[in-house]
Amino acid sequence: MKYRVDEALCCGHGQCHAVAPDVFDLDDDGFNTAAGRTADVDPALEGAAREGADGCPEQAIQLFAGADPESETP
Amino acid sequence: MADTERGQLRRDHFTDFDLDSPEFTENYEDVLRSIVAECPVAHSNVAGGYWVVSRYDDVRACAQDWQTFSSEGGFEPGRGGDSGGAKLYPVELDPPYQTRWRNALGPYFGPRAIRSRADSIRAQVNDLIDGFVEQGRCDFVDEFAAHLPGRVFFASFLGVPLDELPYIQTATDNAMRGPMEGRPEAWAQVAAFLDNYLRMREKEPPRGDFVDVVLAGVEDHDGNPCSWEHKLYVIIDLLAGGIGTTTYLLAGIAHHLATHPEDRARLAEDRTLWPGAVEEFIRYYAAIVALGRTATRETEVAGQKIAEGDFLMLAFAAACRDPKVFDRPHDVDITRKITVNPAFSFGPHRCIGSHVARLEAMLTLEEMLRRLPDLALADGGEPVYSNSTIARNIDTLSVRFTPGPREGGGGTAEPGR
Repeated sequence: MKYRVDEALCCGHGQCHAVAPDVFDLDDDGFNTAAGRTADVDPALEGAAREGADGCPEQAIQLFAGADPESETP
Repeated sequence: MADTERGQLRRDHFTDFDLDSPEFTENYEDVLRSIVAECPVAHSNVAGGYWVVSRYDDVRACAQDWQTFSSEGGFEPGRGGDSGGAKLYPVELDPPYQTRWRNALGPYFGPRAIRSRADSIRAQVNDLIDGFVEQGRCDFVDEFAAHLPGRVFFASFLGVPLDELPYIQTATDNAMRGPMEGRPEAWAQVAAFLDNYLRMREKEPPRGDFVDVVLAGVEDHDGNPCSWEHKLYVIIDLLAGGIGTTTYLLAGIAHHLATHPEDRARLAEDRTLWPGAVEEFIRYYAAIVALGRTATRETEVAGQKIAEGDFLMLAFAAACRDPKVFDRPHDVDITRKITVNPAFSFGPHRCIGSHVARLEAMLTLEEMLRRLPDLALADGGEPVYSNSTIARNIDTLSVRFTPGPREGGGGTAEPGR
């Protein structure tokens, strides 16, 4: 499983990190460190990743299996 | 609402809504239930007229669409235009200026940053409980809920010296909860205190806290360094947004524990229930009833035509009771799974202090379960509620409990960090 954070939607609420700190980290400005790119999810943490993504008030986090559908360099 | 229920209300809340009407305060739950069920966009005739958006999906969509629903017409009806009065920033700003403030301040209130505050906040919680624990009864609002958020703001976050705390705490309390006629004067005192505080800090070396960021400022709408006034608006906004709201939440938690011994027993036995319970308390005791937006163009919300310039109140407290999202929304269910809490809003203006509020609530819950384990309402201790346009309050909550010992941790002696 991978996840992608939509940079335009991420507001830096930090809710993903509050719900799933082992999956989502925040940068010094409080934004998801993966904003604007695709990152891997540890298979053992897929449940937490789902909860963290669902908990985003802006629905900025997309989870997907395999290749990133939006990635220009798959 | 069903006709049988509507019969009990004199006012037509669909076409003549008023956030300040006594009937709304007194029939709060019934009115919220009815507008969410039957009138997703109600209308008010007061304060120049405004719309009330009440369903979760609509509130979210409007809050996220800041281009169509501007915050610069004021957070409540009647504040629009350049009236020359004090503003609250960033709540009354739009991106990109709003974004610059949020990005600068956000890290100081994020989940990572506030973890280090827990010990200091817990000490404040216990110091306040020390103040009444030997008496076996107290007014929980007067002696705890109205004080903790101010202490956290001024002592833990702002680093205000201990000897100045009573003055500013009293002024803040008078501004929030004092007799209505004295509130403007109390607000002026609070603003003067914060103005002086900022001026003092400006002369000192940076402390690495959010005050440094306020003082540094950001670029305003025109790309110029923002004015001193704007910095003051920001620090007043952080205070105004964090105090009364958290007071209501903490009083709500005490009320629930005092009236639901079965939930109290479950929480005392199983601390894994605490985060979910806190989230449910935040939903049920949603402190901000609604905040305003101004339509920048003609648009439509839930089928209702909205004209350019129309004022809308996004009713977060109603969205928290939307049955499409929350099963049995008018019940407190401490095991409810809340995915996103609409009490904190959505979009760029979502509550910057949400993680601080949760932490204060969590530590209060924990210490109340430990030190006031048989909390109950005192005789005649039903809470007294009030509404103040945008906010819901519990003004008094008389409780009793088996007296316990003071612990003397000395919360006020905690150095501000």
